[in-house]
Amino acid sequence: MRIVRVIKHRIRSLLRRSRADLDLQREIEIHIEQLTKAHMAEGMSKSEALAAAKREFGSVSLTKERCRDMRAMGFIDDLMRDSVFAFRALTKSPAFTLTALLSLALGIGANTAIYSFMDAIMMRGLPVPDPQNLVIFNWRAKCWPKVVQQQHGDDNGHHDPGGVCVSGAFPYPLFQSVGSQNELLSSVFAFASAGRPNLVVGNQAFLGQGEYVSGNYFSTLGAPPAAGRLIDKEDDRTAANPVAVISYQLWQQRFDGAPNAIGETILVNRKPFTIAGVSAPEFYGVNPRNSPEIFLPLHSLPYVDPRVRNTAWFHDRNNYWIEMMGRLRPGVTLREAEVAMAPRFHAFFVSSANNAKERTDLPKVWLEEGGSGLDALKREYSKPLYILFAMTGLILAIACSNIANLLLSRATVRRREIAVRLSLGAGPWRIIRQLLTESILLAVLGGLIGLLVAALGIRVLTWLLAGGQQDLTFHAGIDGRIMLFALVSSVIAGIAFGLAPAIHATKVDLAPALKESRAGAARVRRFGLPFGLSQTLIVGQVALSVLLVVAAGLFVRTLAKLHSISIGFNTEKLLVSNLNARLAGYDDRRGVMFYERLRKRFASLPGVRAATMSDMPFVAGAQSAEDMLIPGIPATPDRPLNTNLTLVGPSFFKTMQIPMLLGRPIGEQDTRSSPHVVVVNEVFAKKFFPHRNAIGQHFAFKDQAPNEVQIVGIARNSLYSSLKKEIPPVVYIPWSQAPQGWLSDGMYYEIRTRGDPLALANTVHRVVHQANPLIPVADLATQVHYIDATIAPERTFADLSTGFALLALLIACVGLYGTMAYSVARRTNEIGIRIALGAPRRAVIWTVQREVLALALIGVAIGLSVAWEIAHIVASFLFGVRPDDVLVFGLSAVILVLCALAAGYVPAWHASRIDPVEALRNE
Amino acid sequence: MPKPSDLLQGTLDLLILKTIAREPLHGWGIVKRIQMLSGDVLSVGQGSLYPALHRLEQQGWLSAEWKDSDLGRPAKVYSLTREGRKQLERELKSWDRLSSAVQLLIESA
Repeated sequence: MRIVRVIKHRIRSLLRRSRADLDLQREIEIHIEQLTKAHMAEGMSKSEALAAAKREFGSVSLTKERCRDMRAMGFIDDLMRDSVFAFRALTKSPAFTLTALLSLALGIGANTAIYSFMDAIMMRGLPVPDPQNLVIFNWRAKCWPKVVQQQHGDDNGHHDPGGVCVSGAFPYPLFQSVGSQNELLSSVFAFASAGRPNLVVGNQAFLGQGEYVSGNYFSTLGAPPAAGRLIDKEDDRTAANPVAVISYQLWQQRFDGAPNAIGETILVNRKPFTIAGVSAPEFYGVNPRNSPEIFLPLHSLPYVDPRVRNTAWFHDRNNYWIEMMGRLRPGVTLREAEVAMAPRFHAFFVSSANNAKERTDLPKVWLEEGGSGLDALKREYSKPLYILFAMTGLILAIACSNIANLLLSRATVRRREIAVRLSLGAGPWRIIRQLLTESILLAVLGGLIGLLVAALGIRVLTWLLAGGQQDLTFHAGIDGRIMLFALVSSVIAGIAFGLAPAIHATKVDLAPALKESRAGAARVRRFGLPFGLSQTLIVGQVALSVLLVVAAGLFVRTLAKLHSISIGFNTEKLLVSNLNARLAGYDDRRGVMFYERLRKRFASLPGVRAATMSDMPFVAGAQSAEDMLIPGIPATPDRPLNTNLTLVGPSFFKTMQIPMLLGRPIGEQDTRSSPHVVVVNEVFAKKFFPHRNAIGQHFAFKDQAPNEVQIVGIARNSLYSSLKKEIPPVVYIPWSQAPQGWLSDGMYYEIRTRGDPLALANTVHRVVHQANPLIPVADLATQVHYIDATIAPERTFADLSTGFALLALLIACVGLYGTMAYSVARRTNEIGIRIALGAPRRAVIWTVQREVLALALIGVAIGLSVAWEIAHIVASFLFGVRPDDVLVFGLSAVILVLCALAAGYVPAWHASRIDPVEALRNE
Repeated sequence: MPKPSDLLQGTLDLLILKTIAREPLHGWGIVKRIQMLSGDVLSVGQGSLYPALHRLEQQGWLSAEWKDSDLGRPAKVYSLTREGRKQLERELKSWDRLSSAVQLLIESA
């Protein structure tokens, strides 16, 4: 077993390094002794013989060095010695070390933070056993299949290119007919979002994230309970005792993790449920996007869900609302399962079609890998994350090239040291290794600090990316994989910035280098630094910085465009809050009275100008639409009579400050029993009554026909659901006249305040609590915040890319400054002579700045042309700005050049202050 | 006395292995033995012997121990291991190939 012996020997010699050295010393002594004796035998005197022996043997230290290289796990041995040496070398120049560490920490930290999100969102599996066997059921069809009459829930589907719709929502009877297991799938389970039900524990009311789950949900996923038991098949029946499973987090928050929480009653939308158990701490269901706090049996839905008052909804074959996942049996592939499931699904779709029209374009089942859970989050965030990752990658590249540059100048300072070591017999590879150890040590230290930066960055990013969406959770954090990533990227960075300078450092012409004085003032070339490498690095840094500055420019302009959009109502000093009286047991009639009483109470608060309510927040992504019947206007396929609408309370237009163009606003006189009226916006009036006065016209909502409503006012256009969408036709309906069933998802109060709206937040909570303690207030925020939340990605991009660009500029400027300062220092003599010969100071400044300008311009030119080529990648994140926006490109160039000149000015100024006498005396 | 010629690159290992295959030797002994056996034609560069010994020991072909010696004091004596013998055979074969090839070239060129 030669290998074993070799390893044993090496480890031994590693452990007994000093003994091996001693052995060698003695061996060599003996040898020289014998040589001396031999020479003495030839008749030399003892001292002559010794000298001859030593001459003959050659350099003892060189032999030792070479033996050491042969010996031991020379690598680890050297590594340890190199590390100690490197550490000493680093502490010797603290300014360099700190600059390098800081830029590395920022670069690696930013990368690691973004990577942890990519890891959490795109790569990590669900925290359940064998996640790779999980599959997600979807259907695909040409948009929009008629057989899908209603669709609810989280997965509203998405459109693939080419008019194909994909969705994961299915009708409950399909789940029944698929069966909970078959020959290919060991289990098929179903779940549906329960939204944010009103939960009451003790006398505390709050809204929590809820999920309906089928009886085999937990058993299939296989995550064990943290306490009690999980929902099983017996619980998921129509007449079963209502039980619930709460999340570990809810258990900790509301019960302090007390074991006696099991068996307690929790009110869900005022219906009592017994807490059966607590899910595992790391378990968050199957959707990485959110973390349900309470799990309820699927069959409890008609019992608790305010949207559903009968089991017909539950069993409707054309109502798509539950999502399904399954676990493949061992050895079964995704496609095999899909092929096998297809006929079963097809049979169901055929049987659920009620007429010939519905039988066209039937959906087809389509399975997806489910190991990392539902992929909505992945779809939404993968591209932004890739872009951010690319940006942080650029930062790290700039930081690396900057450090490479610093190392180059250091290597020049250390020429003498290196030359001495080379001439004493150290191999070039040995020197390179030493220098590389130094840079890797630097990088790893930077990486460690980078992890701290990353930990902070993850928190900031979570906050930025979620953009105020409370129900959006990311499971990003620092774990072993993230640390490994940070370590690997540090080492790669260390090699990246260390290798070229290290190789360069060993190419020293020994004789002149050794002759250099310690101060190292000799001029090697016109520039002290190797012209090519250092200058190339600077150009590269400038070019990379241009990319980041252009990106920042595009995103900042996008944000500016979004902010400059005229909203149409006054968003300042407007507080918005949401509450749902139905969840606390109010029916429509009593709810109407409750809501109106509350509105009057709000309006009468000190500091409040006006208060109103609506069934949705505005410019916050919410919308609803209905078909209409307008007398005298036929609906055609290319012009459907369809409008957006909203239910609003009295003094809506006054509170929102939307001017009436014609007619009257909606007021307190519009009650349930008074004639049904509406206000429409300009777009509506122009679209449907282009040649007539819309005031006084009648129309009906298709649902409600033949009951008609009369238009009594036209309001000025204001944004409806989104900043980025054209203003659609909108109908404002008095909420007191809302048709049966239209008021369900609670009420949003808009409160116009005199001062800071958030100062009123506590008062709002108190007023609602006084009115009914069982009704929690949700989403209490300013209107501005509501709007900002919808442009969170744009804001994130603008904020982050501005930060990244500033960082890049800073690092590049430090690099430029360092290089020029060094260059000036090396050229002290030359500049001194010039000044002595009468060169004006301005000319000296210009000599240096000309150099800076040339480097900057080359870098800018390269950066801009690369940016021009790749800017289209971010096009889908821009709004109102083209990716080749000339202003942005031009400004970026100007910014870069100005920064470069600023960085170069200090060294240039120093050059112009050089005292010729002093400089020449140095020669 | 003609100056001993430098060793052909790469033959040092072979010579060391061959020399101590007969009997274990210390460093000085190896140098002397090579010089003697080659009739003073070959001489081991003093500076390259010890690195070579170390390398061969690293490879597990030599083992070494401190023993009393003919030098009148303990010396580090190297002997061949089993793997060392195998390596010697390999080296001999490749030397045969090389030298016959060189011979062939000299004769026919």
